[in-house]
Amino acid sequence: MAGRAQLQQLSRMVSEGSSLPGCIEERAGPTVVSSGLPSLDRLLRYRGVRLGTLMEWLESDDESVASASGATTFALAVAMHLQNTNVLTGCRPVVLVDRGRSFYPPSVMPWLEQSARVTSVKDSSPIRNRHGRGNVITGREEHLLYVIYPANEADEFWSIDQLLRCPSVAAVVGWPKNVSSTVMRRWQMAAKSSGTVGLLVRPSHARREPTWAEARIQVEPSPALQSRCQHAASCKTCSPGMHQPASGRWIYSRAFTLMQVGGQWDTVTTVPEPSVKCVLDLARGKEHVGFHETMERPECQKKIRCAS
Amino acid sequence: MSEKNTLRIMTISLPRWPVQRQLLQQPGFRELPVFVCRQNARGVLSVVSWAWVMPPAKCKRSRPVIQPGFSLSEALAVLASVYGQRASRVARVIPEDSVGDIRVLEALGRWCHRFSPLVAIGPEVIRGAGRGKARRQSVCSARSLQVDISDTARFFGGESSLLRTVVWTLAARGIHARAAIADTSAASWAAALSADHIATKSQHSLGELQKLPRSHPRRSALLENGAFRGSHHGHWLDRQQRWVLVPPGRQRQSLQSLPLRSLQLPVDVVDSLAEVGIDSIGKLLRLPRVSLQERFGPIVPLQVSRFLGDVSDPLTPLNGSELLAANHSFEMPVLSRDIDSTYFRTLIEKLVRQCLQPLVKTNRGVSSLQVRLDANEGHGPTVIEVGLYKPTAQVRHLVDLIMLRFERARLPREIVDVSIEVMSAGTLPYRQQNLFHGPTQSDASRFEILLNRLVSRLGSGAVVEPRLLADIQPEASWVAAPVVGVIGLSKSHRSGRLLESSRPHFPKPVVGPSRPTFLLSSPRLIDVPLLSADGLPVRFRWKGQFHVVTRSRGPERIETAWWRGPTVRRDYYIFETDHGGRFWMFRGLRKRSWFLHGTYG
Repeated sequence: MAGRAQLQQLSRMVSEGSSLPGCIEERAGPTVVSSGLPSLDRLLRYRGVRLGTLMEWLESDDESVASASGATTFALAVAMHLQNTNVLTGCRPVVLVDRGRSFYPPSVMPWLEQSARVTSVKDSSPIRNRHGRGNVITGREEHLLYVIYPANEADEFWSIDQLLRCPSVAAVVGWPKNVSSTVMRRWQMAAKSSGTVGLLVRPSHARREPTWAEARIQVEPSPALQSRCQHAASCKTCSPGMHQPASGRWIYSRAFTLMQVGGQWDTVTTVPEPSVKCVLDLARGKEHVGFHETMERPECQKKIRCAS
Repeated sequence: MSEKNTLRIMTISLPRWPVQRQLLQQPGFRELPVFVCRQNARGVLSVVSWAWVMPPAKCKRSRPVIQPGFSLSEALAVLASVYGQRASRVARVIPEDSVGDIRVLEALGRWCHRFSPLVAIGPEVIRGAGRGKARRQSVCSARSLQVDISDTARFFGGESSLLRTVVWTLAARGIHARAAIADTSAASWAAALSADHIATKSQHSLGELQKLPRSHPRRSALLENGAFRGSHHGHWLDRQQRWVLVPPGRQRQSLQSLPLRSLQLPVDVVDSLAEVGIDSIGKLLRLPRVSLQERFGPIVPLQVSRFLGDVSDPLTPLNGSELLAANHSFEMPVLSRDIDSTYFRTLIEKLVRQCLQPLVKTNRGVSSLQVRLDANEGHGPTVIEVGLYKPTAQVRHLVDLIMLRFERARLPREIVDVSIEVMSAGTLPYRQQNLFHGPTQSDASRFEILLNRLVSRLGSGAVVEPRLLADIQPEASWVAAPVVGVIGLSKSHRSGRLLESSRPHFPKPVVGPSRPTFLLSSPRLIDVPLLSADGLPVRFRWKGQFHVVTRSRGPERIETAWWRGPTVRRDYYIFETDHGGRFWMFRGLRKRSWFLHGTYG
């Protein structure tokens, strides 16, 4: 018992000296991290995603277009990037709450592999788990992606709430339809307490409702932007996988217009809504950096003229 | 059905147990032929057990005959002769692990404590293997459990109901079993082992019975046979019969047609008896036991006496099978609506603590447990099963999970008894403790707690981790593997279905940008009013809206192999519309219709 008392005393002494490394909290780290998409970072208020907040991704109201508009792709790309934001905790899983049971995981599997590679580089330990992925720092052998299938709306809301309260989850992606401000506030508080980011894909009409989300991003596909680069494979300045209709390589990227449509309790705004254009590399879940610059370069324009 | 003070033994036979156990732990192997093999002194691999749960649809009628004891090369040749060379190339060969088999069998035995407190591991099914001198070798191809249900069957609605419950409950957990109840352990073992044989015989006898006139003496002789008891229910005479109920005192009449190997006799004795024309139990029973002893030694009369119940044959309970259970009986029935939730939680906590105490001493924790609220007679109990992601010994966490389940469960009106039973336990994972911060939870344990909570409320099928499968058909190229799975199998044993890396012979599933974010549960027929010159849609209608195609990519032909059942032949295209939406559609190569299968959301 005496030893225990001495330990407690030592603990107090150590706690008072806050400069010691033993006082580093597990969640210590940046509160604002990059979303992995520079264009999106420019659009966000804090030039990145603030941990412990909610983000809403608005897609078209038209049901026939909504599921093909790309808002989910964007949310997933951000979620996968958030897996590696904290060096101390390592790679944390992303959890999807899919009430509609329609999410198709093979579409994002390469992104997961990439996250695992990033973690492996960060980790100096030679220990690897069975699948070569997972959290090597904590020794977990779990996957980096989990999917929850709630049966009804109540279970869906409860699941999102529980997931947002868990600091071991990097991000929660959900497709809730009708969320009251009370529920949203509860989620916001849950996310704040844990540092988990909630990424909610919602129909565009939700824009009229008040929100507790940090940011609301309207996602619209921009086929015109992507079609600008109509030249063939002879253009050396563009990355090889981009925009070649003849070979069908265009499926590996997708252009979007992202528009911020108001933040927390900011439904009536007089400020013009900022927007950015972004081309997403679907093979890696990253942005094609420098795409616009490439398009503006004179030699590239020349080749376009030659091709035409 | 059973009378009081009458011994009744239920035997649960687990055919091909070595391979069944492997399939339980690696469900992905169900798609492949699996051989569990033993290596002999000369290095030759011989088959202990084999199975192919999902063989090619076209060859289902002709099953290859591969007996235990065949050499692996011989078995593969037989397999190839029935299913083709490819089948032998993709076959999985797993070394025999008899210790692992016993361990899982014991876990299953502990699970069977719900039927009776006295559960034992039954005798092995020994089969002669090889020919000539090699026949002296023997392999254990099946295992069994024996349960003394003398006074407990009535709690399950009678013996017939109990048999049905056992077989179908195990089947729901992926375990293929046969069961039988008789007066003696030897008789019930013989009946369980030969359940298929009895069913076939009954089928033939029924056909014969229906042809005979009512006054025919053969008809009355057939009706005298105890095996027909309950035939008016129909299920007794089903060829797929999985259980046998031998009426009390009638094992001699009911089981006389069974082969001699059902009597647990050594292989050489069975061979010797067969040489003199004695190949069934009935023929053996007609011989005097004294002469049998003189000719074949004491083993034959001893087994006959055990079969008939002339000598005592007690069951040996499972080693270390102390009941990890605790219960609380109320002095009088309590209305569930009157129970204070705080009191109820305290009661559950007390019971959980009682269950955990012996486990914690051996550094083990609970993997799954069952809570049972018994009501008055005439009302069924409320049973709640709680499965965990990883073993835990945290009382508070377990109580939280149980209470979470009770919030959504329908409780009986009156509660007489509350009991908690540990259904499976496992070694606690080692976690480094913090020196100063006390019992703070690590990242991993927090996530485990979260998963357990989610599973408790939503069910095990609702919390999944996606795993890729080696299948080219989009619908079948991944599987949602539950994070909490089969009871008795720990997380490390559940590798889910096959990852692409474990099936080198099969094409890898396509992943990445060419696959949609959302896949429809089934392809939807699309109205395509206008086609281009090359037969691709110019416009199509989806959810009442017309979409104009601006560009397309394809075709990607997906054609499934013949051994997977009905062939799927599709040409997939990715279409981008004027609004920027992307759709994944295919044209069926048979009917040439267009279907929408996914969207790039």
